[in-house]
Amino acid sequence: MVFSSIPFLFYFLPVTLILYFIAPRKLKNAVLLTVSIVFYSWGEPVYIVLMVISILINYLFGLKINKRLQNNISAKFPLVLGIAVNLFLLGFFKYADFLIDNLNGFLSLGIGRLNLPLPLGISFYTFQAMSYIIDLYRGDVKVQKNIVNFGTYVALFPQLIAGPIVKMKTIASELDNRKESFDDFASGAKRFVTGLGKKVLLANNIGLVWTRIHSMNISELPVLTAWIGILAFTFQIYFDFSGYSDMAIGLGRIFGFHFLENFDYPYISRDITEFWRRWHISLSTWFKEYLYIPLGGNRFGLLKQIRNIIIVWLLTGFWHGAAWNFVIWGVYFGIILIFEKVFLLKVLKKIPGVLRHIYTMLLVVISWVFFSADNIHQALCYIKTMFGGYGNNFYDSKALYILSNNLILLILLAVGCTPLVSKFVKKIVDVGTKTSAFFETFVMVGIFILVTAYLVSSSYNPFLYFRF
Amino acid sequence: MKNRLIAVVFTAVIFIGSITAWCYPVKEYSKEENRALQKMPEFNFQRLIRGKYIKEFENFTTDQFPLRNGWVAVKSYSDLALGKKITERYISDPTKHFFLWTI
Repeated sequence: MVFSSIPFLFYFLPVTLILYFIAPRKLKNAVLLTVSIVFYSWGEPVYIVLMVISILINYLFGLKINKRLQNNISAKFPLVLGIAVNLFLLGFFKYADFLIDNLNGFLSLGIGRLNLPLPLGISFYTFQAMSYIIDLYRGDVKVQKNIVNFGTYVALFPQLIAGPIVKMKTIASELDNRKESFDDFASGAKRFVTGLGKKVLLANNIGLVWTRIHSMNISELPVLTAWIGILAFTFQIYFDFSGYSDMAIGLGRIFGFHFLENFDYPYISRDITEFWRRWHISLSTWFKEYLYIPLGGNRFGLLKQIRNIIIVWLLTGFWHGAAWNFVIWGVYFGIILIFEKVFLLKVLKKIPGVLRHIYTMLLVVISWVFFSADNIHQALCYIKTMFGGYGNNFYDSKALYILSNNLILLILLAVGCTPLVSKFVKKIVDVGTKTSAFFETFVMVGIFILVTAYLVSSSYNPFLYFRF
Repeated sequence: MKNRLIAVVFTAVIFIGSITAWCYPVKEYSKEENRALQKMPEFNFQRLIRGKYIKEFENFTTDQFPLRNGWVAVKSYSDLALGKKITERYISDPTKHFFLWTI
């Protein structure tokens, strides 16, 4: 199920809230686990089996690792086996066809594809589960002996299908014992509605522009149209993804959980190193803690560090999708980060801030070409078009039309990427008067009404239109 | 006090929407779209496993949402406010738009 839908907002959420808040303390996690399973199986009824298996396996590995550690026996074997099982599940369901296609391509084998649909959220929940067994092995978290609590941790519906990747150590104490409060409920509700607005009103809206331009013949696009298209995608992916994280963090808070932040205005970064400290924070810290540092990080000289960066970014790219363009996307960032580490950061510090912003956003926007393309060839064609490589016009009437039709939206999006809105709101709200509370409530209800209107309208196909 | 207001209003909005949606009379046909609207699907385990039941239930919730045409009007006004000349669904010529809303 997705948050930005009528069934979630007006069917799933109210029922969940009632069940959760009337349930006695002891049963609250059981309620969360049950509704999370319903949430997951909504539209994916079969793969629920896979998630339950993943919960059971990691729970059992947790017990085993703990037992060995308590008896002062090395727990390396169950840890490695546990990681291998998790990676196997992820690899089989996400990457098997990629492997088969490449084997067929390079070695001309005729292996049949599996054509398995990707299980929802598998990349997120396997990473969560792995962080648990690794942290347990390292002694950073205590073992979770209660299967319901452990299941709740893995399956918790707010962050189940698109993150943030919540580590056990972040919520371990809240999982066993937490207190819901009006303050948390209110700030959670505000955060949820903000995310809902970002997703439905902004991301989906600008997404229409990208979908339209993406479906045109790329080599014939005017330069301006190509730039509007990829800028539209740049905005779409940020508002979509950070909106989802807002909704997840907000819902978590309603139930008394405090997840870590996942985005921190990435598009105001002044270099790529900073960009990756602000974008999808839960993923980059995951790779840092569980891959980069164990590989040696920066402790064994520059050459080893460069190797480690490349490995991490190759896999970060691959994590995003089983296709070469994602691998290229990851390595692209890896190479830029190495350049910045070796000399570029020193150079950048000497140039004016505006140029640094342009440098960063240009590289980020180009990265989205690789990310959004169906394959590498298409991405290269798109970049060629952006820089006038096909000798196309700079603009045409259609480009101006798209621009004028979306100008206000684009301005809103550009402002929305910066902390300006939240600074403005804080200025009004921090006054702490009754008026500010009314203002906040008013804005929240306004966003909710607009979101409902957008969601209801999405099913509306007026007969009128088809007569044109 | 401040947070109570937000918490109460948020809960109220969701529950009012939810209760109204449950009680609202089912409409069979949409004149504006010239199509039959989705009714509550009958439960069947086979269809559930194949994901069809859920799909129909989702269509049911949007097709039968209370004051559906009113919501569509709100959406088209917001498109006009954003300066859009053509929305995804129809040309938002003010007269036609009004026409849609009053049908």
